[in-house]
Amino acid sequence: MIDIVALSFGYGAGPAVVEDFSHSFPGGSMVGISGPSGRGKSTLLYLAGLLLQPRSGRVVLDGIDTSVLSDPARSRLRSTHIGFVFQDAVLDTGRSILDNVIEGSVYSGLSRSVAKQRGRALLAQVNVSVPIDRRPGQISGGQAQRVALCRALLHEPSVVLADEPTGNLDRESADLALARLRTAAESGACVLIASHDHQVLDRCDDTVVLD
Amino acid sequence: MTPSSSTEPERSAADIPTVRPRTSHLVIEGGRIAASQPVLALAVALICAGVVLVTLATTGRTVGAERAVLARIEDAGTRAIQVIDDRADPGLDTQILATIGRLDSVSWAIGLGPIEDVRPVGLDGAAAVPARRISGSSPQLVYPPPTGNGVQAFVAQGSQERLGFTSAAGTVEGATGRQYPVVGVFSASGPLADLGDSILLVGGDDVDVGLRRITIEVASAEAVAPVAEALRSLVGPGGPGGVTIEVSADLVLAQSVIRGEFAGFGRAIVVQALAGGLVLMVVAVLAGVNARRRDFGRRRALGASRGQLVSLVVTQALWSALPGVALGAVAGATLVKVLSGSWPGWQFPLAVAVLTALSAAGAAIIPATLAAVRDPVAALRVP
Repeated sequence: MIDIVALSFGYGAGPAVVEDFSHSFPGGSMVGISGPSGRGKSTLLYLAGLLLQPRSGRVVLDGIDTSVLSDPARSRLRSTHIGFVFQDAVLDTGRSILDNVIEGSVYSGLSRSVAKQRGRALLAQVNVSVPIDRRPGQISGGQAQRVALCRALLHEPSVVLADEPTGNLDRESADLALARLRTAAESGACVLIASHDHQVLDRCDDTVVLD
Repeated sequence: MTPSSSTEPERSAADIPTVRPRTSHLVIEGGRIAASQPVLALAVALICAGVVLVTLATTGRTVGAERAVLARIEDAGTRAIQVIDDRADPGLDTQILATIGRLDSVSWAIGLGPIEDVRPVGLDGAAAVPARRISGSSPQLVYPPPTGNGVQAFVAQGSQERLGFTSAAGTVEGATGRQYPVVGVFSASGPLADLGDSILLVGGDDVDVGLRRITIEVASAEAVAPVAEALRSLVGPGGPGGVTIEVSADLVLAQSVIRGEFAGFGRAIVVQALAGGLVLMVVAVLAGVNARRRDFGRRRALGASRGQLVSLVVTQALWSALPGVALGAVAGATLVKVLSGSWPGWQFPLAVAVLTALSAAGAAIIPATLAAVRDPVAALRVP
């Protein structure tokens, strides 16, 4: 779970994008984050994912106050506790689909053989049926996004942060992705989804509106 | 908004799982990244190959020339020491010679007795030739190796001509009427070059006749001074009418100067080639890193620390450099062989290859650090 306490953040010396935000996101739930563009939905996810350092406030992840952690410790938490899904897949175009899925294992310490096994299983679960040695340029956008979802779920994170995960997907691919995120939540993960899409938000257990 | 109350007790950084990636995993991952970016890998490899090739082709020839010049100087007797005894009653003997032969760095030492004029037996009117008894030996001084118990004479090319011998065979006779069979030749070269018109008398029971001169060759020019110092304490006082120790001080100095000049020149070439290569490699890796900013944002999101990002880029550059330095070393060594006629040896190409590969890794540090400290969110938002 994530406890966010009095969190404030702005880019550089600019105005605050997130200001005095507090919320507790329990494990085992899928929570939507909505609001107009520019209100800090993605920024909130990046703060929760320890990619940004807040101006003030705390992010407590599974009971660990991350505000006092060093960069290596925050990175270690990201590699073991957090899974990111970006709006576009952000895959490594020079490497195979399977290599993309298991990339995080290099940083989490997961053995390559176990990672490959899990990666193949995840790809099958989200119906990516193309050969796993294909490059991202040889698959569709929907398949690429599902590959990115598999990458986020490889190390069975306790927190999954999805930024418009279905924004570039057709309805069928979106349903597959959301179903897999639901499975992760049912397994105990805290799933946060930033989205404009009401069909996505309707499938969440709760919605936080940033306005 | 108000935070919900947490039901979990707060934990500390010590509770973060301590499973960490092995260094070997990062090194292998660097190799995989290098393989997935063939254009950058090829650019780094070509730069490295060029650096090694240029360094070997220029410095290798310089080293070859240095070796040749120094060898010529050494032939001229740089490593030789002459101990001359001008006393009326010579104090040098075979015991001192044996002691000298056991000194560290002494390759060989031979003692020469007083000069005795000899003439050929049966050849009237032939000129007298100086003959000297020798004690000790140096490798391949005389040929064939002496046999038997009697004193045997060996001629040099000059003395053979002066004696009027058509071959190294015959008999010579000293002023006392003692005759010596001529059984072979000796090589009057290096520190013994001044004996070209002489005869060497080898063997016999009365070898300990007192030595007028001891000629010593040491293992290296650097050993000349310490061995000469040891000799001074061994053979007694010098000066007129005493024992004189002669070293080729000018040649030693010249050798040192030449070695320093060649070394300085070689170092300058290596430094220039490496510096040029370093700049090109920094530019290449920087371009590669900038072109793939999102990759670094993604890796940070996946849990890579800044240090791990630097390690990945550095090992990527190292992997890319390896085929280049190998190719450059082989091509450079072959070029040296073609240009100079001899292989440069394996140590120098290996050293240049290792140095160049390390330079490639070093060149990657600045771009890697820039990539590692970049805001990962900004990097991910690059279209």
